Amino acid sequence: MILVDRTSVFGDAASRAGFAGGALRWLLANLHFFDPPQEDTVAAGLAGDNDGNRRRKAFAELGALLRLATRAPAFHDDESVRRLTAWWLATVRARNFFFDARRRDGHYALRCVAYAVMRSLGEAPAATGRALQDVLERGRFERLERSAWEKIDTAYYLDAAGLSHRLGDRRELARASSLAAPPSLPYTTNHDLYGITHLLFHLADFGRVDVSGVLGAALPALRDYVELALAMCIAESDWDLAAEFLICRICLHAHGAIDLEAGSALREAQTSSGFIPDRAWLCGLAFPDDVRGRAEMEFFAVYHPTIVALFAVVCDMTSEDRRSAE
Amino acid sequence: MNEQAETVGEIAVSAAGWLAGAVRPDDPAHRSSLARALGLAELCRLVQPKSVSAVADLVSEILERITVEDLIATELLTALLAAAAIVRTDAGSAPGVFAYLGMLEDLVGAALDDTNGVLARMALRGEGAPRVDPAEPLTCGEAGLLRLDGSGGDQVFEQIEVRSAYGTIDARGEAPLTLMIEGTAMGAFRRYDLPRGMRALRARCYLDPSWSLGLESGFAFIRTSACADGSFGDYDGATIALREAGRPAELLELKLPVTFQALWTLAEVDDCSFRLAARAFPGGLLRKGQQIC
Repeated sequence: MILVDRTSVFGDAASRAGFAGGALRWLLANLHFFDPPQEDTVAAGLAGDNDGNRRRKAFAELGALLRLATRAPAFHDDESVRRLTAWWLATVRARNFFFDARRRDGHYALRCVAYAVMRSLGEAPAATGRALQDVLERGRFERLERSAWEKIDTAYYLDAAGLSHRLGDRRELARASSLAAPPSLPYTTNHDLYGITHLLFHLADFGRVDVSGVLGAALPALRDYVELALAMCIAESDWDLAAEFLICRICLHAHGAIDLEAGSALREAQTSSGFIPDRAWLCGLAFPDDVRGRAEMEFFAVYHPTIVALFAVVCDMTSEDRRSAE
Repeated sequence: MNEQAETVGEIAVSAAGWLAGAVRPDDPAHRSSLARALGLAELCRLVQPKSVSAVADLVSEILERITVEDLIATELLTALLAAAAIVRTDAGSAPGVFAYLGMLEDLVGAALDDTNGVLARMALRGEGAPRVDPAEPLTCGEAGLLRLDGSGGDQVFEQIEVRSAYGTIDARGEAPLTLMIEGTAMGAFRRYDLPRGMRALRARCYLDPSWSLGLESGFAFIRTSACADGSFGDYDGATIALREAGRPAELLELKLPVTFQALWTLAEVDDCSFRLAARAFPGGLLRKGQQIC
């Protein structure tokens, strides 16, 4: 069913604003968990820093949301988003996120994401960009063995960071990826599905780029696949993947009753504190006894679906703007 | 999967071949499987009449031994199919079976419109019309119930089975209900919950038999769940896990219902003119029984 008069997959603009507002409030209340390690210390450079690594990843993902937010002025100008952006920029500098970037290249990909975020916000230091480009030109990073998925993901953020690279032609990479023949849904693992969603996010630049030329004849079948995968994730109450496939539907410029069902289900799933739970949280995490440990475990279980849901909000808004312009 | 079985009819013949070799009616350990085995043999016959020869000896042996108690102890559809086989062959246990069917009618005559009520009326009198207007579409509100937590999905499937009289009456669902049902099937198959996935696929066909990616994927999944011996489902690991958990289960007990459901689902998805509840009881068992008596 094609919805001609659709305004938002979240029902209407007010419902969407309420949903986004709750999620943003939760992010603001939990910023300390996003805080990455102080990079200009010896400990931050040590291998096996799992806690530091997950904080860096969460920090970069929050930044990626703020980068995308610049495309939706109404969202970007929201007071909560302004506060998040100010905190993120202050933190990336205070933590010296790009410290010793040419020697400590273990977090290179996350640094490129962070640099792309700064660039989109008009705050990118040129010297950092040169250091990141130097690492690329050593002839290692872009020559590592990678799947088409990893190459497309990486190339997306290198492009966004303004770095020149030789990771390959998008069309050829798309043809070599699982988008050309997606894995049969009854046998898929979640990892397989994240491959599909990330490929689409980055090939379509979150809905900004028409992928019909890149995907060619594979596109109609892929639309059906994404629609069915979205229904499956809603049925499984997997809100992280449901939000990702909802974004994919927007990237494919597809609108239907299933999108409204997804938007409605995400709103229903949102907790009173604002976060969107994931499967592990819904199934009951084995929480530690101490309050801090419990809060931290809960944060790392639910921050990702919450951020992805906000990606969906921004994509929904930009898609609405695009349709209005058409 | 069984490389030889390409069509659903061939799959039925293979399943019948497995059944003939797997069930030993004189083995006390298989006593509880007699009604299910007879029900599956009847299903194989309905899907592919050529399968009869593979199970002829087994069916004869079962008919000699089966009792009304065996039917009562089995789920309704299988019991009714077994009863149909008994009535059709006018086996020695037929008089007892008519008493069972009469009792069943008394129980469900005033029954509510649940799946068993509709099924029993179809089987006994050939009357499956639900007391709910099938033109009234199931809505997206019901789709919300399909989320796998809790038993909401079962409620939706039951409503569809009742309103459509197991696919024999047109019933409608508002978008995105059919898609959500397909999604539920995919999720169930991912967890290897075969009965739920197959029930979802049948319900999807009752609302809309047109081909889709979900039906195609589900159909292929079931087909490739066929084993070389003609049965369905891979339960080697599950039987070990059950044994280690102190709940030993015969492989036959696990495979009989799954093989039954797999063949039933494949037949209905493959051919929308095949609806088991209508095909198995033309005219109704009691009408036929009264004529026989």
